[in-house]
Amino acid sequence: MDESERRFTALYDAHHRRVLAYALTHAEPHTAEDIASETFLIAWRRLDDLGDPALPWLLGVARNLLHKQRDKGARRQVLAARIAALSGPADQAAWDVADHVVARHDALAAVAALSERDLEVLALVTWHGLEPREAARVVGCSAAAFFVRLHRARKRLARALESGPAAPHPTLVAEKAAR
Amino acid sequence: MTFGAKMNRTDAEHAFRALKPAALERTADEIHGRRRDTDLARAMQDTMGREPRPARTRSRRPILVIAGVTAAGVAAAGAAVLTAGDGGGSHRGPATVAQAPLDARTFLLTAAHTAEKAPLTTGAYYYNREREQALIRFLGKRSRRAMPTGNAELAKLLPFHVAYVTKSQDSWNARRSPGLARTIVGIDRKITFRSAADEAAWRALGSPELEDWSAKPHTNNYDFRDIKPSASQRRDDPGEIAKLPADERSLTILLHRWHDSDEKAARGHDGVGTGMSYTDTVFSMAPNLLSGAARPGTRAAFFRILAGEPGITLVRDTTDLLGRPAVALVQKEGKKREHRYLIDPATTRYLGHEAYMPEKPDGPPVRMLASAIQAEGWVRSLGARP
Repeated sequence: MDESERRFTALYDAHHRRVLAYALTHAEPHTAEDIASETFLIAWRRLDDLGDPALPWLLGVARNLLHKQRDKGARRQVLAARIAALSGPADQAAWDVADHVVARHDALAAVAALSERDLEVLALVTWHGLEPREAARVVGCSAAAFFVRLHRARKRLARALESGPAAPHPTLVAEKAAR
Repeated sequence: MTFGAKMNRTDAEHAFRALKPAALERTADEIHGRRRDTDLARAMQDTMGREPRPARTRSRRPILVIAGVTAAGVAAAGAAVLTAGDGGGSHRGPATVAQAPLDARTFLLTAAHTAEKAPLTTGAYYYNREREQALIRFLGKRSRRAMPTGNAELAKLLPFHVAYVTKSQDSWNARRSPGLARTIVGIDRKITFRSAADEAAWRALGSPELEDWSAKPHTNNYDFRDIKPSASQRRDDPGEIAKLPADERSLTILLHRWHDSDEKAARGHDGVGTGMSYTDTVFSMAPNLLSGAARPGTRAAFFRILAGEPGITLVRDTTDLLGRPAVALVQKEGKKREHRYLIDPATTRYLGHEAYMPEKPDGPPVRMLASAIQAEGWVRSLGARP
């Protein structure tokens, strides 16, 4: 294995799961795995251009590929729908044990009422573990702009959870009906 | 919950964090295991903007078949050959832990999958019955006569005999801590010997007590409600363990924080650090973070963290103190000491711990201490058992 292959293998092992987790919050598993695979193919071609840390660059590529999928007419998967699709009884049980001040289904409904832009900002920092400066690179804005978006998203989330569920989100209603 | 209650941003973010489905990382792990070799081979064969590279075969080692491999998968990987040994830990398909993982990293990542599927349980008290065996060395009559009184260093050089003291202990700890607690010690105590000669030497001494305290079974009741435990004491508290993060990143941050605070506390005490690396700290937390008190997600996250730490090896096809089949995660301390954490290969349940060190300065390591969890679980009341 030469140096490039070694570097690429290390990059893949370090970040592939995280790119997949990001893609899974926006697309169904078979699409997400193709997106992640394509992301790393691009990374291989641009191996010498990757910065350090590489993860924001990789997620930025995955984000662009997801947008292209949508441009081609692939069904858009909102984050709330992805949460519903991936959730199971263990998530409800973990929620109950942790003594949250809201019921899980109410929290989901509140989240569903937020914009995708707010949810992406929150998920990048809270779920995908990026520092705000790194997340700014993913969404392609300045760090200052990202801080503002994050601050506003947090406020809107807190307000949504305080005020309770609005009209049920169509996706969540469809999910519930399907069960 | 009551809507209309003030929700601060910390609570809101906490709630959002908790909405992350456990299946997200689990699914990512499964896809990663399935796609890794194919993706790597596909990329490295790509010539756009790069020089073409010849197909590579991995080093030739005995080939093991891993569950879930398909002919198409192998063909797509070009000339990659399945290998045994301590390579990159690739695992294909949804291999279960019981199906012969090859190395510590592969075992740990697969164990994470299995651990995540365990049911979440809770209760008011955490119960645990643990059996422990300690190797006790004692001097026979002749050695005692030859040894000047109180010379412990000289005693180490004299011939000694070996006994094993084995006993069980029940414990209950409140979930909401500090609270009430109870232990019952000295259960089913047994003394055995390495050889008939060792037993004869013990009887010749009048069958003395081999431990410094009373061996009779007795119950201890504790009321910790007025006591404020330290931060490091709280780490052992089942109620605190149950609240630990269930995602790898947050748990890693916490482990680093624990390591740093232990180091700072040690240096503040006498200017000398703990002597433990971060990996040592992580490994030492296995009995807590893999215990039944921890949430399935926490155990899974900890398995993944262990998988990324260096120097942890695997001993397969071993048994624990109770004779149960086990896989041992091993960390060596120098050349002659090691600690082992024993895991049930089928369920990934933590079974117990073993410590190995030399009996004599130039001797081989022997098992000095072993413990095994006989029963554990959350119960509704003090004194109840699962």
